[in-house]
Amino acid sequence: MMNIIRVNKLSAAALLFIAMLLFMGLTASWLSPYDPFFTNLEQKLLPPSFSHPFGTDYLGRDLLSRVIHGIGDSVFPVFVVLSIVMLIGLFVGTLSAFWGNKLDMLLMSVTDIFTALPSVLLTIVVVGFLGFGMENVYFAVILSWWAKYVRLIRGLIHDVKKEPYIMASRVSGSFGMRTMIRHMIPNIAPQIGTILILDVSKVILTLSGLSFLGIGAQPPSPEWGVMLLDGKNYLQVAPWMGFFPGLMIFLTACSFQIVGERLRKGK
Amino acid sequence: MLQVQRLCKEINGRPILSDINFVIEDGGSLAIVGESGSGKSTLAQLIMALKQPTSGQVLFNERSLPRKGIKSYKEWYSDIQIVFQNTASTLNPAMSLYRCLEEPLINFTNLKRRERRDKILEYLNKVGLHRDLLKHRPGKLSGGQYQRACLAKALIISPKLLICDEIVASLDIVLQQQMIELLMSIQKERGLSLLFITHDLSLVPGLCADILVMKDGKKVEQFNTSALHNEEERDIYTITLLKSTESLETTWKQYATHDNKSTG
Repeated sequence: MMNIIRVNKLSAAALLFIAMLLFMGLTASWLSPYDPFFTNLEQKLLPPSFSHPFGTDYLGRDLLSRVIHGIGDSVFPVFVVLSIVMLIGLFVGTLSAFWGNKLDMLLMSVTDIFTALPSVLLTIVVVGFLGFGMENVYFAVILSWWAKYVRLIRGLIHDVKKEPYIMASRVSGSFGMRTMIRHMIPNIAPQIGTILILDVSKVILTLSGLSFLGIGAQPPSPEWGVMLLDGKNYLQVAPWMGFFPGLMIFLTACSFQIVGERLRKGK
Repeated sequence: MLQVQRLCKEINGRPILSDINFVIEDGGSLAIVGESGSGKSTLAQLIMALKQPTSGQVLFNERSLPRKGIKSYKEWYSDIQIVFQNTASTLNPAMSLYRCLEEPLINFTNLKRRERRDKILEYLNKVGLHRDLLKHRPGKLSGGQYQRACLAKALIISPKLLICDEIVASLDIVLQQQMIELLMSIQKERGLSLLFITHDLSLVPGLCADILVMKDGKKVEQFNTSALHNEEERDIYTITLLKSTESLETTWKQYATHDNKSTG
């Protein structure tokens, strides 16, 4: 991976941005200059300045502090969502491909139904039933994404199953789960890793989008989608309110996309 | 003792192997020779229980082929090991050579980590590979090194019978000779039974006591290696196989003579 990054400045910049983002997210409490929830109506709608580099919002809250705290609400949940999706994909995909036949047919029919449904529509329906809130949105996103990973992992395992080293591993005494863990998963891990990194940007956009529509995170959360929704109402008087959260969503999604694409092409 | 009795294999109604019979005594050796597509590799896979026969049976020390249950498969593989064709990537590309060689020791023995390491070094030395290669992935090995590594992996659990499926087919002539010599020395040292599968009759003398010739999935004939050049007794197909290797040698000799005359 380092070789791929070394020869490409754009990828290096994207990787650096991601590293900084994660660092800032983890140390948000120390790094942010103000309390992200502290309101001060005397300082409302201030443009960017030295004391408030990103300006303030309609309640006088410091936007830089909110953007930094927003990393924890906008980016970190994506990793949790994708980890759960990948674990489901790994379990069901493996079950389907390795011990297959009738179970494979049944599981593939179920995944067909889920992949046929538009993901945003499914999410809205699920949130409609369960109510607003980030937990429900995470659940809905997992529900609309798991099928893709099941199909991906099933396909990869089907391919790797035919490799001569899998047959040879049997002669060396590896069977069932042992073959899966020692021989199959390490050989499909690079492909899954690349797809996961590429999907980080898509899930960030989905979660922020749902918050922007008002069905995800709810105020006063510093989630970037919610901040963008707030900024929309003040676009003419305080454009910085929407600009900075929007810029962060854009840069984060682009960075993960660039790194993912680079990894994909690098193979 | 390996006994193969009336072994048949059909795939989609097409016969791949028909009525194959032979016996390899303890410490004995048999070469199976035939052109590509004669069913040699299928036979090896049937003996290794990687495919199930349509009919017939394979017995090793009176025990029949495993059909289900990991335990019975493990017992079978602890006695019989195979080295696959070297064109096949039979070592896991995601593992280091050390982990590849360690795998049969983990699965078939109760050796501790240090004992496993000693065993790996011992067999690496035996097949003439340098210990520096252990940290490399199989993709970094040359063709000859790869095949030696596969041989070490197969021998490391001390099987009673070793099947070699076209193990020198894609090696150059020097490496072929080295591999054959290595096999001969290991066989002598360990009293190992050997089933050597090849399309090249010229590799067999000195390595195997008996030869079984196959064509289109059928046994053509079986004879002692010392009787290979007895043309009156040999089947016409065996003679064709033999002549095809000899004709190349003759062409080279003629070429060399012509070359000497022209320079002289």
